[in-house]
Amino acid sequence: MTDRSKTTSLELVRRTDPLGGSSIVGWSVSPEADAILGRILDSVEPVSGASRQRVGSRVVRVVAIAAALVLAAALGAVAGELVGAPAPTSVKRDLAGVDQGMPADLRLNPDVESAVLAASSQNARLYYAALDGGGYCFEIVTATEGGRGAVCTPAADVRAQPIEITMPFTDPVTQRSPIEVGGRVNVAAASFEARFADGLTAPIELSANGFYLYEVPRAQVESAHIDGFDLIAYDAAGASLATATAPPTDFSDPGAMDRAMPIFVSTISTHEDFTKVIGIEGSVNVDGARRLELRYPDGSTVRIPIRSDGSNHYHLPIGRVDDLASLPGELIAYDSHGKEIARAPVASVAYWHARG
Amino acid sequence: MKERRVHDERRMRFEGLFRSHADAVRGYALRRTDPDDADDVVAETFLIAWRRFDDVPANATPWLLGVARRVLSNRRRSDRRVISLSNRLADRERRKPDAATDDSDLLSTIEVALDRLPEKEREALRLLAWEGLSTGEAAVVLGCTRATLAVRVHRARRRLTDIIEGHLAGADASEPGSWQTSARAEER
Repeated sequence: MTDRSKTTSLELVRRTDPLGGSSIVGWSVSPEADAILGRILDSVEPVSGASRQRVGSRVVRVVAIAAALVLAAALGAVAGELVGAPAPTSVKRDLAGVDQGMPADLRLNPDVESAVLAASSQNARLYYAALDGGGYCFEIVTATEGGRGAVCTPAADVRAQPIEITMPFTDPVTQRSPIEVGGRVNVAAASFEARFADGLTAPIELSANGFYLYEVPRAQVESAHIDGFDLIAYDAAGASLATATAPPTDFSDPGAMDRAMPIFVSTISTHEDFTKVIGIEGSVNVDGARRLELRYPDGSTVRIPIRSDGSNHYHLPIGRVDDLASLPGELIAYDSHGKEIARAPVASVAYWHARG
Repeated sequence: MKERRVHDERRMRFEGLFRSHADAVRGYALRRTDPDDADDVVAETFLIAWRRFDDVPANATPWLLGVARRVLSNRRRSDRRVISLSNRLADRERRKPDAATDDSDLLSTIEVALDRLPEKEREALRLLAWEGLSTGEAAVVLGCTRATLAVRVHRARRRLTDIIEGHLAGADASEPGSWQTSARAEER
C-alpha cells in the first residue's frame, strides 16, 4: 500500500474542493453584493413577534406510512394518582406537540396541564398525560438525551396491545449501549418481570396505573441487544397474562429497511398543518424503474424525476398542497416499456393519523 | 421616532450579518452550483434571513448554510442544474492536463466515490472538509442531531476508505479504470 492510503479520507475529500480550498473573501463588499443587499432591504420588512411563527414554521419530514406514526394503545381512566410530580415544561410542550398541525377532528387533546411523573428509573423518567376521552400520551426523559418524544395511545388500540414497549436509542447504538424500556401494562397484572435469554429474570415495578420504566442491568445489556428479552405480566396466582418481546437490536444500516421497499416515500409537511403535503421525497428501489409518476386522488398525474441512484425529491405546486389531505395519491413506477412495476400510496400525515 | 430607530438598527444589524457571512454562503453555493446560480442562492438565502431575522442564531453560519442548502435543493428539483457525474469528470480532465498521473486518478476516484454515497453522508463529509464546519455546525446545516451526523460521517469515511483502498490495490495491479467500470455497471 502506498503512503496515500494513510491520508485520512477527510483530507482526500478536502482535495476535491472545487474552490481548491480557498475561501471567498471580499465578495461581500463588492458591487454585486451591494446590489443584492439593497434589493433585500428594500423588499420587505422582517417579520417579528407573533406573526413570525407563521413565516418561520419549521419544515419537518415525516415518513408517510402508517407504521411510522407510532400511535399505540390506550387506557381509559388514568387519574393523577401516580408518583405525581408535575411534568416539566419541556415535557408538556412535547406532549402538546402531538396535536400540532392536526385538524380539530383529529386531535388527541392530551391533558397536558395535568401531566405528571408516572414512573422512574435510575437514569430516566416517564411522564404521562391523560387523553381526552380515554387513552394517554407519555414521554420518556433520559438524563443524557432529555425528552425522547411523546407516544400516544388511543383507547381503541389498548386491547390489542396488552404490554406496550418503547425503547429509545441514540445512534450510534452498540452492544454496550444502555437499554431503557418503558411503557404501560394494559392488563390487570399483579406483577411484571423481564426474562433474558439465559433464563435470568428481574422484577419490574409497576405504577398504580400500570406504567413502568426499566433500565436493563449492565450485565444483561449485551445479551439483551443480541437476543432481545421478554416482558411478562402475571396475575396474583402467578399465571402469565401477557408477554411482549423486546426484539434484538438492529445494528445494520437504518436505511436498509427503507431501501428494501420497492418505493420508499416520505412526505414533507410543516408543524403547523399536517393536512398539507408540500413535498415528497424518497427512493425507487425496484429494478428496472425508468419513470416515476405521482397520481393525485383526482386522477391527474405528474412525472417525478428519478436520480441515477433512484432517489427523488419533488415539491408540490402551491395549488396542490391540500390534494393529499384526506385521500391518498399514488406513486407509480414504470419500466422502460411503460409497464407498471411498483406503486405506493402517498398522503398527508393527517390522513394516516385518521386511519390510526 | 423610537420605531424608526429600531427599524434602522435592525437594518444595520442585518447588513452586518450579510457582510460577515455572505462570502461563506457564496462559497458554499459556488462549490455546488455554477456562479450565476450561486449569486441567486446568496440572494434567496439572505432574503429568508431578513424575513426571519429574529430566528437567526448568534452562530449564524450553520443556520445560513442550512437555508442555502434548502434553497439549492429547491432549485435543483428538476435536476437540470445538477451537473452529471460524467460532466464533472470531464471538467476535471479539462482542468488537469496531466490527468493520467496518480494524483488526478485518485482524485477522480474520490469524486466518483463521493457520488456513490447517500446524499446526506456525502454532504456531511463535504461540510466538514470543504466548509471546515464542526460536527455540531454540520448537524445544524443538515437538520439532524450531532449523533446522527457522527454516524453519517463514520459510515461515509468507512465507505470512502474501502473504495479508495480498493482503487489503490487495483492501481498497484496495473488495472487503471477497472473500478470506474464496475461502478457504471452498478449504476445500471
